[in-house]
Amino acid sequence: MKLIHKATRSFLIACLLVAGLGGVFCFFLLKKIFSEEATEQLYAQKKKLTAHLHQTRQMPENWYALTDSLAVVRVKEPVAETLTDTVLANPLEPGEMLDYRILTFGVSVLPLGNPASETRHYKITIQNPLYETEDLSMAIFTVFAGLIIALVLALLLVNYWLSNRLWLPFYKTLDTLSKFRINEEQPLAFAPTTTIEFQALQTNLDQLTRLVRQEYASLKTFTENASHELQTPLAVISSNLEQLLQAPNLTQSQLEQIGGLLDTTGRLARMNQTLLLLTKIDNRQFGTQERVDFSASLNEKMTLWEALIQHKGITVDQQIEPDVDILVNPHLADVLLNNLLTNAIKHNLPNGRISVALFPQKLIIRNTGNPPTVPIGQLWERFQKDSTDQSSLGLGLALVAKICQSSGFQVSYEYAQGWHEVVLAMADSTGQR
Amino acid sequence: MKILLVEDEKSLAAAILDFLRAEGHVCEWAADAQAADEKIDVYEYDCALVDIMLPNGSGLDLVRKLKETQSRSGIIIISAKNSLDDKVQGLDLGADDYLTKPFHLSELNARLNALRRRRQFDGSPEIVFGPIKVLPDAKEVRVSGQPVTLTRKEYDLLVYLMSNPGRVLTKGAISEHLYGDDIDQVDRFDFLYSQMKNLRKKLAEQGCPDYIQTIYGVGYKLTA
Repeated sequence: MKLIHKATRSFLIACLLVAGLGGVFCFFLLKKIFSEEATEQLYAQKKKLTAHLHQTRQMPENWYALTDSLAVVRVKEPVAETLTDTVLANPLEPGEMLDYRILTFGVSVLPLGNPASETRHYKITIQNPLYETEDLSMAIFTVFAGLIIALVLALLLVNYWLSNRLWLPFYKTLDTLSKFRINEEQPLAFAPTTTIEFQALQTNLDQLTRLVRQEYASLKTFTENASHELQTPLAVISSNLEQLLQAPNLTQSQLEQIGGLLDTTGRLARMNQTLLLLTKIDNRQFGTQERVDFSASLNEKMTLWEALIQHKGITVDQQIEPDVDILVNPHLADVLLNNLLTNAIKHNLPNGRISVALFPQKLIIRNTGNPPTVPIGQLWERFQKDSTDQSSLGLGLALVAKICQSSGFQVSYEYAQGWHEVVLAMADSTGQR
Repeated sequence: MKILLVEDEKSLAAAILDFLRAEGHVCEWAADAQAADEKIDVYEYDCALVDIMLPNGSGLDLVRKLKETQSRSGIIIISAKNSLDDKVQGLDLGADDYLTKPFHLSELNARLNALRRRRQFDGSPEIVFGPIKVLPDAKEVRVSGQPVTLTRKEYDLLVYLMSNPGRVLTKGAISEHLYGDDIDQVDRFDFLYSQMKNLRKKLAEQGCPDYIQTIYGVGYKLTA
C-alpha cells in the first residue's frame, strides 16, 4: 500500500468517525432544542389562556372551534397539570401518525356578575405536534453524507496532485536506489529536487552507498591480499620441504616427518583457500550466473569419482534426467557438486550405497552411513565435523550451505533408517522453482 | 630449457631455482617486474615462470610483453591469486598454464614437461623411461613395444611419475594432480594405493620391472 493511500485511508476513517459522531450529536441536540421549544410554546399558551380566563372570568364561546389543538371542558373538580407525549393520526395526511406533546391543566374562575355562585372548574388541553424524528434524521444524514462525499473528492484530488508532484522526487530517488549495485563504481545519480527532506535523503543515501562501496572494495582487497600473503609463505614451506624430501641419505623417520609436514601444509593451504572461497561468496564475488547443464555436470562428476566409488565397493543407483538447466555460477556449481558427491562417498559404509537423482529443479543425493555425530542443526556450520576424521576440514557442508544461499537454492538434510539424504531445490534457467 | 623465474619471495624462488637446476635447466631469476623487464629485453627464454603480484609492476604486463617480443617462449603463471578472472585473463594474454600457490614442485615439473612436449623444444613428443614409452598425443602406453591398456587415472598417474623421475612424490601431490585441490580429501591415499597397485600389475604383466619405489608413509618414487 502506498504511503499516500495509507494517509488517505486514515483520513477517510477519521472523516467518517467525526461526521458520524457529529451527525448523531447534532441529531440529539436539535431534537432536544425542538422538544424544549414545543414545551415552552405550550406553557406560553397556557399562560395566555389562564390570564385571559382570570380576566374575563368566562369562557369565550368561539375558542373551542378555533383549532383542533385546543380543548376546553368544564369539570367538577380542579384538574392537576400534566405534560404528556402521545401519538395521534395526522389530520392532514390520513394514515400517518404524528408525535404530539399535550399539556393538560385546570383553571378555576368565579363567574362574572354573580358573586354567590360557586367556582367553575375547567380542564384545558393544548396539543402541539412535535417535529418528526424521521424527517430530522434524514435531513441530517443527507447533509453529512454530502459533506463526506465532497471531502473525499477533494482529498482524492489533492492526493493525486501530491503523489504526482510532491512525492515524485521521492519515487525517482527510490528508483535510482533500486539500481544500486555494490560492485559497480559510478556514484548514484539522483534527480535534483527542491524539497529539503528529499535533498537530505539523497545526500545521506549518497554517503551511505559510497561508504558501503568503500568497505566492500577494501574487504575485497583484503580477501585477495590475505590470499596472497598466506599462500606465498605456504608455497615457500611446501616447496622447500619438497626439495628437502629429495635429499639423499634421509632416514625413514626423517622422510616421514617431512612427508607429514607436507601433508599438513597442504591441508592448511586447502583450508585457507576454502575459507577465502566462503568469504568471496559472502562478498558476492561470484555474481555472474549462467545456464549450467546440471545433467552433464553431474554425469561428469560421477565419471570423475567412478574409480573411487568402485574402490570403496559402493553401489550407485542414479537417475539423472537429461537437459536440466540451472541458473547458477558455473564455478560454484562445480564446487557444490564435488562437495556433495565426495561427502556421500566419504561418509559411506564399506559396500554401501549411493542414490543420485536429478529432476528439473531438484537434486536428491542419498547415501548409506553411520548416524551423524553432530546435531543436524549445526551440520551446516563451519568446522563441525566428525572428530574421528582427521583428513576432513569440516568446511564442506558450510560451503554447500553458503553456495545454496547465494544461488537461491533450498537445501535440506535428513537422516533416517541408515540413509543420509540431501535435497536441493533449485530454480531452473527460466527462474522457475 | 632456459627458464626465467619472476618471483619476489626470495626463499620460494630459491627452492624453485634449486629444483629447476637439479632438473638440468638453465635458470635466471628476477625478483621484481623491472628486473624481469630488463632481462626479457636482453635474453631469450624457452619458458618463463611469472608471478602476477610483483613489486613495482604486474606479472600480466610481463606476459603481454613476452608474447609480443618472444612468441616462441612458453609462459606459466604462478600466482597466489586463485580467482577465476585472473586465470582467464592470464590465459587470454597468451600464458600456457596457470599454477596457484602453493603448488608442488613436481606439479610444476609435470606442467613444464607437458609444455616442453607441446612446444617440442627437444624434438620428441614421447616420454620414455626404461622400456616404458608414452605417446601423449595418442594417450598410448607401450612397454617394450607392447601396448598396455590403462584407465584414464592410471595413465595420468604414470605420466606424472614419468615427468618426475627420481623424485620423491608425496601422496598429497599425486592425488592433487589427479583429482584437483578444491575438495576435502576423500580417503584418497588408500585409493591411490590401490590405483598404484593396479598400475604396477599392468606394467608387470608386460614384463616391465617394478620401477615404482614405495617410500613408506610418504609417497612414491620412479627410479631405475
